[in-house]
Amino acid sequence: MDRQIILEELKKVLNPYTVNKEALANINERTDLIKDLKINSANLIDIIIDAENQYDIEIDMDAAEKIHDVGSCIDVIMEKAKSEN
Amino acid sequence: MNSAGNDIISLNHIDSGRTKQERFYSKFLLPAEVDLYDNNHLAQLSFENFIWLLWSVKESVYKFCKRHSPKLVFSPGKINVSIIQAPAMHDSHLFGTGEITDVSFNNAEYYQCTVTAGNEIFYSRSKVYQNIIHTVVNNRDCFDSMYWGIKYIEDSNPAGQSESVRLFILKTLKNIYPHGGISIIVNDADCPVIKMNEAETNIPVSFTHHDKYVAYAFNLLDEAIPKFAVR
Repeated sequence: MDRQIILEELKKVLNPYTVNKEALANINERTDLIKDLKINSANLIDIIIDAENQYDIEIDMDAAEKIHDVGSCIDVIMEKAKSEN
Repeated sequence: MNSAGNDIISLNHIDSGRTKQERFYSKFLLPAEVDLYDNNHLAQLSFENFIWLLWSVKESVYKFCKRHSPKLVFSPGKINVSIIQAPAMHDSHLFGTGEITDVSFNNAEYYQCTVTAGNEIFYSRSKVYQNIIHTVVNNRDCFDSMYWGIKYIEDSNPAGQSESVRLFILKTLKNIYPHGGISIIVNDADCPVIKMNEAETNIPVSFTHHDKYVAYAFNLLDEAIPKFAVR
């Protein structure tokens, strides 16, 4: 899987939880989900579940705790997809 | 460690069905924490509200700790709720379109948790309304100097929430310090700081917002009050 492709797909996952659509359109790997996209922390688990559905992977608690920005989200998705294939 | 942490959850804004799925709550609750629901006779609390109650406790502890550890990442699995005590007086009414401010808590009306994070122990007070859950934590089981407030707002976009909670707390602070020249800034750790007459105070403050609700908590310990402040 290509990181840029995952980043583009993540925009769709993040979309329901992001008010600022302009910020979402311009995300990069350093974009912080809470600080930059203003996503409410209560939605972080929703995003993880949606990512699990999107990539048919399972993200456990330890992996979930690594996710704080777009780059770490891509890292976890790639790592889980690799280990489950 | 002097700090503050609070969190609010709008229950109208969460996916109730998803919350009840083990796949969801196992991302941030340990099995022993889930067992607290059955072992503590919490029948007056729905399971999904129990899940969000523990989330709000963990989030509040994280905010409390982050003031002194700016690079801390929210790791709910490392913040463990070990004890939960239901309120003696169960009152789950609707939080309307107004506001409430107070100091300390009537323990008989609040869920009380004991929490460990690393080597630290924390204590919480949570109120479960029909539509919101609000939690405040402290590192002592004493909330006598803890000021807090909850407010309904019309504007739920992040900028509106942020502005509203600042105006809300300023109203309370100006009642306490009418001559304080009070303002709020955000420090390098991304934590709000109260300034009086352009000087930063040591009064720890925590903001939270979700949907159309904002809340604050600050701990007015004597040693945190600037000498020039006139109450």
